[in-house]
Amino acid sequence: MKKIGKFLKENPVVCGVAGSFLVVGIMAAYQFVESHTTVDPKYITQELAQAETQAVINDPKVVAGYLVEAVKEQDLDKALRGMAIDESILNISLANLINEAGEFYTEMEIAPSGSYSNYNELAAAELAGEYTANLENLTAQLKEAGEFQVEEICYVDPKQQLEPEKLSGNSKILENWGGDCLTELMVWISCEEEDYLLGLTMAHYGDSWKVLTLGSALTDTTAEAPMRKTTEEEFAALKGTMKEKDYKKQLQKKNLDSTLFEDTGLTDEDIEEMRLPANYFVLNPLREDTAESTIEAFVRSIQKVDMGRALAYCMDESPEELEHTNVEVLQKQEEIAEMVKRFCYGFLGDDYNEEEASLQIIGKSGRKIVQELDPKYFMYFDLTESVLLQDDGKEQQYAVLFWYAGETYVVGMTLEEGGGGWYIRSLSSEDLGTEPGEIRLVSEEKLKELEKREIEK
Amino acid sequence: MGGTTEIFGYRISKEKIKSIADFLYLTVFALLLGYYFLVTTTFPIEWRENFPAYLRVLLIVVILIKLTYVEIYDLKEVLFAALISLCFLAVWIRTSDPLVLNTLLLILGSKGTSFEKILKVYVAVTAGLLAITMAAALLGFTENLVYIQEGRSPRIAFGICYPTDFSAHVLYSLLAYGYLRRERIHYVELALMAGAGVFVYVFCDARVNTVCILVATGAFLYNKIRHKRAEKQGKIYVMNRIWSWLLAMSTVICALFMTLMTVFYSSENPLTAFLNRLINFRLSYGKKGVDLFGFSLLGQYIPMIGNGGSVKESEMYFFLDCSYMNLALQFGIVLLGIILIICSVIGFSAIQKKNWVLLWILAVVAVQCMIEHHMMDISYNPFLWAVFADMTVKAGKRLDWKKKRKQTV
Repeated sequence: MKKIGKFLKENPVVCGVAGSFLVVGIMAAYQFVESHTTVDPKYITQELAQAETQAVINDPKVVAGYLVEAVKEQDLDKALRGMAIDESILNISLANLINEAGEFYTEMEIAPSGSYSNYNELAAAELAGEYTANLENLTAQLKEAGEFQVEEICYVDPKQQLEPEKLSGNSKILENWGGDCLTELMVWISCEEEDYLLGLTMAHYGDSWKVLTLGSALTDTTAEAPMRKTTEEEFAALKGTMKEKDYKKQLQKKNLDSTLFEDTGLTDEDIEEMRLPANYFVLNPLREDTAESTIEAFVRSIQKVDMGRALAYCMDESPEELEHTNVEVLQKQEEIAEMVKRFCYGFLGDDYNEEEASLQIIGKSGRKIVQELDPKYFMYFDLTESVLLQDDGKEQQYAVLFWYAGETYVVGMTLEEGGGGWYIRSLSSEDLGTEPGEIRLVSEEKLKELEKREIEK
Repeated sequence: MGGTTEIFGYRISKEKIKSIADFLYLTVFALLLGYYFLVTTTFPIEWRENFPAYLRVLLIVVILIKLTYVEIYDLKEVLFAALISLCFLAVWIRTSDPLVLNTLLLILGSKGTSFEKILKVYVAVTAGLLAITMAAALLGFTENLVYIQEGRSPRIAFGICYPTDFSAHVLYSLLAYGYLRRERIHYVELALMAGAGVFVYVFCDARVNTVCILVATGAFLYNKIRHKRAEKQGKIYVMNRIWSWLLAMSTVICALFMTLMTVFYSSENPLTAFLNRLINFRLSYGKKGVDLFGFSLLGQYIPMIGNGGSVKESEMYFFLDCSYMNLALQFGIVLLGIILIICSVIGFSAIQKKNWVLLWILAVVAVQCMIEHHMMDISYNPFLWAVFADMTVKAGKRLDWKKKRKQTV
């Protein structure tokens, strides 16, 4: 001890160095603990844990076969892996879509993830939910039809697909959703009594094909009803007279930048066993000890533009329900994503409903709207107060006050206790009369009224 | 340091080279200081894009001259300078912020230059520019921003971008002046200093800087009285050992306090919630910064929007006012660590040299930096240069007005 005392007396600056290390050490330790105790907001279901067996398929007919096989097996995970989820969210041009439609409302399209990657999770949850609903429709149609067999997969009238108007229409779709080539396919499905036609719109991305939408314009099928009755004659007529080889050649000629078709050499058995890379996620429900800390954690996730985490604070499913990828979970995620999207758009001044959707009424262009939706502004949403409106033990309703861009806003939140903590059941409040995700400007009187209620509580 | 060296056939003494290098350093320092000061004003100056870069080149030349001809670094200093350079350069490479490089060059270039001379240049430049800025603002040549904020009296910025920045310029100029005057400071000067504190409070409503000016004035007064008393007893004033240790460690202590308060801040915790309100939400904004960006080793870009530059309340606001959090988050924990070590080295060498007034100043700066972001700010804090500068205290000219008057009579 004496030696240490003597050393410190002779070298007092050591104390300063040690103190500096202590300060830096606390910061480093805090960061270390934070990064090692943070729960991943994404859950790996048994299906998502399955590894891919094939990275890409550069033949649209094989992808169509893969999809039909997945639907036949009622394997939602496999089917979703064949859909263009990642490809679309990376490339969507919301500004183009708004300008083309001449209108904008919050639910119109997925979040502008093509312009801002921070929206990826929101857009992916929305798109996965939408594809799931479409696949559900197809499964229901097939169930109704009974036992079925795939007779043929072919391109829809190649000659018509090569018409300049059709190609120009396709270019517009590709500009809005990404990809370098578009083609329509049809699948002839024969059941015991009837024959059916399944239309598919496929898009090419670099070195692979994915299903852009169920349904195709030329077969008169839609995402909501991708399959319809047909006859052998109609199918033959839709097939057209142009040879598949010539069509592929012509299409390739128009797309010199990438190789559109490659012989995959895959057999039917291979396709049955095949699984493409995972392209969707399942949220891991996150909980906090109190309702107020859940609100704070949710807001902090939004400020950090960690959308996955923000969504996970709104997930009500229990871990048991998340063992498997299923329709309910994915549609719930879509619902949450839409609610959170509305919440974000509201702050940025772009939450419009369908009645006032015309760009003339809004007075903004698509580009302007997308510029305003820049998530860099999220860090300035400041949570100022959470006013408890109702407390039913396991359910609490709050009026959450925010300060943003010089104004005070209020958001209703309904929280529930369950699954080991509190989560946000809805970004709405019956007591406050707000819809999910809706934010409202607060008047001075309303603010005083809320503060009074808080004091009374 | 003796001997001569031959340059282009001319023999020049090392003292001469040193004085040339010092002169060059002080000139570049004055220019950089002026540049950084004017950036904080409302003067609509359009700077040439490469102006600070040219000054940097000059600073590098000064450092090279000093290293080549003046030979004044010992091994300990070389190692310390290498460590500082390594950390600052790594941060500069990561963040590309010229402030980091300029600060490093000013620290290295100050080696051997009289700290008193550095502070004299600092006081002359900042006080001069402050007077010009105030006059220009009051006479209407530049914008004089007056902030009307709810629950506060009107806050005048006097040509600077924000009232607290104006008051911080006043504080640091007074600290530098106080250092130069040390125990020789007059009661009149102390009264004027206190008056400046009151002025800052009345016109800027800058509470922290007012308190810091008054505390600094009190410390200078205390230092003067203790020296006087010791002198009367034929002794040299020596500060209490524990007290001097605490003052030398003040930067580290303040940094530690703010770090703990910030990382453990919670609105539900009555202590941190109270402290947060007391220091105008510095803790909650710090915590927000930590949560959103996290501590990094070598810094990161943090988009900060403050209230300065316009009286229109900014629609978005996020600013890390606390210097310790600002440095840790913007420039990384490595740079914060090295700044703290620099401050400790300055503090403990001040104890060795019985430079008690510097200890008090370090403590005032440490406290002020808990609330404001001027720790590594060329136009504000000149005390970082004390780490390598020549701290020899010359027997300065006495401003003994009574004696002078007698002689005149």
